[in-house]
Amino acid sequence: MVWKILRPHYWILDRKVRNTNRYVVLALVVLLGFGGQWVFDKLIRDSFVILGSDQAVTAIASSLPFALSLLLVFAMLGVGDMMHQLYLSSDLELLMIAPIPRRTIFFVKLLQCSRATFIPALAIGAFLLALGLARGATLSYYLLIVLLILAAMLLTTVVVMTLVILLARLLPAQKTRSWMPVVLLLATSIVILGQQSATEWFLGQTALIGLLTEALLNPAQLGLLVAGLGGLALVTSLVAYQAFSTSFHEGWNRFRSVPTRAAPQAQTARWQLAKALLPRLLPQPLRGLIVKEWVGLRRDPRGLVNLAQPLVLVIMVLALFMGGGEVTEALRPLIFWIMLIFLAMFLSVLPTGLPLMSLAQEGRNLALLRSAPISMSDVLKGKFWAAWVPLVMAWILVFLITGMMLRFPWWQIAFLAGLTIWGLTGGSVVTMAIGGLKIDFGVEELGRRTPTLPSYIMMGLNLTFVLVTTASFLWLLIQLLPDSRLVLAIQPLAGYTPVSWLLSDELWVPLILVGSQVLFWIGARALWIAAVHRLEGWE
Amino acid sequence: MIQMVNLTRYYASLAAVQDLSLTVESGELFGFLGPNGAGKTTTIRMIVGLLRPSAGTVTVAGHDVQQEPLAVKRAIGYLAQTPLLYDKLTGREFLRFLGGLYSLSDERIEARAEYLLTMMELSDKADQLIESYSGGMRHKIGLCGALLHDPPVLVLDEPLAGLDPHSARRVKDLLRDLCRQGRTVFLSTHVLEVAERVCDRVGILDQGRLVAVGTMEALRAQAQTTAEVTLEDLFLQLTAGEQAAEMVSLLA
Repeated sequence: MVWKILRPHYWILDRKVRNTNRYVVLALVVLLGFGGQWVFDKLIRDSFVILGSDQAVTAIASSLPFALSLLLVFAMLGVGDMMHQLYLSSDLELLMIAPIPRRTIFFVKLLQCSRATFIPALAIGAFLLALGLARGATLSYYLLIVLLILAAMLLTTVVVMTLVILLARLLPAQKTRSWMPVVLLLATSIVILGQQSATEWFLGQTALIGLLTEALLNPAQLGLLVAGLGGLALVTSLVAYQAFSTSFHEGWNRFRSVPTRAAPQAQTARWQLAKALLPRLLPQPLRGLIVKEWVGLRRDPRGLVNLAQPLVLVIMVLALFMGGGEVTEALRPLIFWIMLIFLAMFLSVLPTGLPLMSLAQEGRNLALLRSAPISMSDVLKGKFWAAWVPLVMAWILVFLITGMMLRFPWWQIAFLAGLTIWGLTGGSVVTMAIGGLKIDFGVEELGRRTPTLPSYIMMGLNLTFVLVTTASFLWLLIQLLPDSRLVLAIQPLAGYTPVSWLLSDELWVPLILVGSQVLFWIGARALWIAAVHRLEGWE
Repeated sequence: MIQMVNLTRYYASLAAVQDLSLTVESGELFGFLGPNGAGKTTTIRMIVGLLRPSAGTVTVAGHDVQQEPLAVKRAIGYLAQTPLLYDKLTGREFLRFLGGLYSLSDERIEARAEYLLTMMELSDKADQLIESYSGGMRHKIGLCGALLHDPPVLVLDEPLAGLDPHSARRVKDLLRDLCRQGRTVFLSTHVLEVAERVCDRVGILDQGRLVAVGTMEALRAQAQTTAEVTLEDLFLQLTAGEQAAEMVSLLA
């Protein structure tokens, strides 16, 4: 019965694989081949040597916090995925009305939920495989670690499943769902902050880690561990089944029923305020489009998560440098560079957040905009400004706060703000243009409206643009303030080719930088026009 | 007011609408009927400019849909089969947003919104988020949106779907009133009783082709039947003929 229920998912997957462009598959295989070779040469080969040496325990202890926080992040992300699988998947209604025993539905949901543990299981599996190979483990070790991983996957799945079922039963379902991304963002920040102290703690536990490593390599002890973990997973599964039997149906009902809720008074007032504050000169329909986007953003926690991303940068930088003292003072010229690196990383992904989402979220409602007497150029512009303004404001606010707390000179804050404005403008324009060309507005699920390949193209273009823009800004900085502490701080890196280019007086450097910008903006304009054309003809 | 000439639309090699020629006069309430998949929604989407015809032309209020799309859109109020709404806006905010798209002044938006919300009995729900509306309420707010800019032409895809009898009656009366005021209504419906009682003329579409058009009397004359024959009988005769008769005899 379970197979019969899951079979349509297999058909869908099979069709997707068959319909995938063979050139894309070929490119991926080549990429994975070369990438795999590089990863093996640079990372795994050395790890084998370390795992086989006396340094193994210290190496494991120092990398455990990172590995554990990664697992924790995956577990937290898994909560959202499991919530979707349990209560919001399209097959649930059919399962609930069909004459299927409850335990079968539980088993189907268990299998569907377990996919959230695949990636961490693969990572742990790779580590245990490497440990076995480095220490010359016997065949029984490999068989037992497979069972160990399966037991761990089952245990993790049923624990999170039970948690989700209880959450849906006890808390207001819609709010739980809406605010889950915010909770995850905060939890992730806490995990990042806790890394340093966790590393120190684990480095003090080398004896225990050594003991556990030896136990893993001993077949008898590993067998006991597998039996214990397996037993625990089975008992927990029974508990999860009980929770499922008693609470799932009620939780599902709560998820389906949308409470009647009014827009809070403050929000209604804010609409009036926004209307009053928006320059009267801003013409309709642009004004209406922007206000609509902002009201939606204010009420959708997913949008707020996108706006709250700068907080992660603040937390990271402040955690690293607010300690004060001589070390912080000595590192002061580097703080700027570290912030710059973080900023460049953020800038390369930010446009695929709020700006792209604002377009993708339109979905079928694009037909409403198309049936109104407005041009699609206005729609794209409205969405651009509606996403760009709050993003830029959030980031500039962050630079002002962190800059003042870290006592940056004003021009450094202005530099970071300028880079953000330019980077976000280019990134958002090109991302929204590709989105306008490729988003499938007819797809029901928001996450699936943007096809995979265009998403990668967007990210690649954004990254390239951010690199070129950062280099352009740095070149200007170096030319304008060659004797500043900031520039002197990177002089030791003059041996690296990209830094040496920026520090050189050659004329071709600014020419290439300006040329790249011009090329980018010509391309962006062409893409934007093509996107407007596509939206005008969207059916 | 609405004129279609040899309107044709293909999806790949499948003809969804073929050679459709039809004129709807000003002040007329025209009912567009047809079985599922007959091409009603495709035709409506071509009238409002959401679909490009493969051949033929549509003219609304004297403007060609392909040549002057903005003028046509200004003249049309459109209600989709599944109303297109923004869940995170309240009903009132949704109407304000639409008013902005149609470049109405703030004062006019407020006045029209208040009038329509009251007429559709949505006043007490106007400041609730649309995500909390029932199916019928969603339909009603969609209809308010279509009527907001007081268009001379209304194109409505199943406007009575999901409405309770009380609301349905209210909408039917409203549509008749609008036609009396000189506005044109083009609606598609599956409810043959509505078409029979409310519409001035009906057109029946089958497999993309217009198989009959006219007043009830004209259709009866065309089918050579008596006055007792209902639109349902005519519809079955024109669209599913032998199949339906066979099915009825099997069920009997």
